[in-house]
Amino acid sequence: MEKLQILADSAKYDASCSSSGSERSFNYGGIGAPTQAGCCHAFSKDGRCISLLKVLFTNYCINDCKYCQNRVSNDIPRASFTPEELSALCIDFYRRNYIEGLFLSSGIIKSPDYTAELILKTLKLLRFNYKFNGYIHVKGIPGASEILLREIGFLADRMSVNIELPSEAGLKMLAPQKTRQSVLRPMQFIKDTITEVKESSLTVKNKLHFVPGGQSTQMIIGATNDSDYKILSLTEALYNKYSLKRVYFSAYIPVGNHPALPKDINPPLLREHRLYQADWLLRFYGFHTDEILDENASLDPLLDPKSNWAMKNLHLFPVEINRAPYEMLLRVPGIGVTCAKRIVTARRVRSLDFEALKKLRVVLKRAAYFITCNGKYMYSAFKMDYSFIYSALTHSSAMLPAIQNAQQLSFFSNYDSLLPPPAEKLTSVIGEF
Amino acid sequence: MSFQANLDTQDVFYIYDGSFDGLLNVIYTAVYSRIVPCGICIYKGMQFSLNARYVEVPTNKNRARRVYDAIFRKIGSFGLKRLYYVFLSSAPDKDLIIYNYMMLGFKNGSITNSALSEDTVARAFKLAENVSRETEKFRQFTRFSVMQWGVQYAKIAPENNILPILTPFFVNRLKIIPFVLHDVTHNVCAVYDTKGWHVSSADGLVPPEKGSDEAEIEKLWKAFFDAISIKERENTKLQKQNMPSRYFKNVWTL
Repeated sequence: MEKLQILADSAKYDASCSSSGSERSFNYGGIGAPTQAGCCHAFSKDGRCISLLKVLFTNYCINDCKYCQNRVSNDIPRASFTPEELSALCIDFYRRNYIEGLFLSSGIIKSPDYTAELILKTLKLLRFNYKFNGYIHVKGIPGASEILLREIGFLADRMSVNIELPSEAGLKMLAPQKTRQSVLRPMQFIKDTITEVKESSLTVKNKLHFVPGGQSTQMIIGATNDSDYKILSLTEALYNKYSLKRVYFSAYIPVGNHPALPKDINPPLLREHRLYQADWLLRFYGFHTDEILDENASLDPLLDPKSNWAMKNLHLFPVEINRAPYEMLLRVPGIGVTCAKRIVTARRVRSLDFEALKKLRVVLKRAAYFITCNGKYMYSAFKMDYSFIYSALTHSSAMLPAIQNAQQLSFFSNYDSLLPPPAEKLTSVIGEF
Repeated sequence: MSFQANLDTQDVFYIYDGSFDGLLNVIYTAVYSRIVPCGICIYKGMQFSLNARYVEVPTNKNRARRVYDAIFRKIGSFGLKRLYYVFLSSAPDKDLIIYNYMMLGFKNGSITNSALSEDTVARAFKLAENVSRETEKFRQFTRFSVMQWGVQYAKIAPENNILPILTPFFVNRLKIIPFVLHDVTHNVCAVYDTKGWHVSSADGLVPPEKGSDEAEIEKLWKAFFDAISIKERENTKLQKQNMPSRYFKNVWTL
């Protein structure tokens, strides 16, 4: 039990906990089934999803990366699983529906190959002894041989190699044993093997699956002074060149006291959040880094990246809900993939007004400033004016009701003269006086 | 046309047995008798009004099948699935919504499914979403205990009657392990014996004693749960938001 605590504690800085995106036609025959959409089974006190049993195989390590709490020079309790213990624990949790699968990472014990062999042994136990069919995410062990990597890849659903720091200089300073090349090489290898296996099994009936959930990576935000632009363009390059499924960002939390590391206590959570928003724009909204950010700029903490882009491109707005193509709907701040799809579906039947948008449960808080329905704004006071929209978006909660009230007042004042004064009406009904 | 006169003066309520087949029979009767229902209700726990006519609709498998096929043909499998989800919802007016949806669908075809700005369709869409969202939550947050003889047991308290769509998920995943999924709100349970599963009434269901190492595993999980959280990022508000407490009535974690 203590062992589990130590090894989960050491694994907690890995941001990835997704269990999605893996489709296998192959079945190991026992319990378990990966779901396409993934599934979170609990949320830890920091609000993050717990989907997988995220542990290190061991937190003994021969490396001395300054940002890592498992570095050899750090004095912390050390522990190690055996493959038998870990696989039994994983099955025990899985059958009770606590977890969706296993996330296995490890410190380097003895040598990279020795560590990789232990991981491979655990995976073999799970897949062949327990016939476990659930999700398994394995961290690539830097420096392990490609033969082992390949064997692990055939048993895992996803693999990841952490790029850790966005720049070569940062790596040199904080992780002397790692170079950009040593990280990118296994990434390239995994990518090549995925394509190779996919192509070779196109014609085969019983398909082989090499890392069917794709690969992901992670970098630390705020440990070095790389700009958001740099981080984001690196992210985009990783998606394009290495066909990664995800790039995770993790706000730097001080775990070491190396002079090269920043000393502030608060992890840059807002910055991490904005980067994730931008990451989503890259992956699902058809944006490019150059559209989101100018060179070497940072993301605006006040406005989300999409609103920011829209503010810079006001000439493209307002967007007519009933006519705009899907790609343009996606670019409206406040309209996401779900809502854009709903709009496209519903407008096939009839043209939409703002009342209809509300029925589709499209959130208009931000979108209202950027769209028209049949040529009309939601409120006639809206205009395509930079400072008006900017102040509305940054204090949106204060702004919208004020405008609403103004509208409602003017509406009633137009008809005031037509209605009898309320007091008079009441007396006539009651019949007094 | 005394029949028509009757329509004007009295509201017609259809009564059925609460099964999906039963509801399809109501639709069948309503369509062929051309009496628009004012309400559709289930035998159990209904209140009678004086100025209304009650028509009891027996459940006939063949008729249900015909309506089922008609929906499939005219509104499509997508609409059929949506209607079934609405049927599982706990909204009191769901039966009438299903009726109205079908009438729209029979008239306009499968385009009805897209008419999200239409009141009936919007409402059905919302109810169906609600049911599928709740099912998703219980996929996440159902917790099994391993009982004596290796049977797994879980108690859930969902708002909607989600067992028919929740159980296949666990059947697919537990495969070789028999389990009982107990819905205490609707007093029904799903039983899986590794060959097949069925949903039945939970009257007289007495869950077996918990297995011997259950306490140990629960402790292990608790240890893992606490260790995985990053202290510097603590955000219990976000945690609460992601795990609303109503899903955790029968769960001991947190």
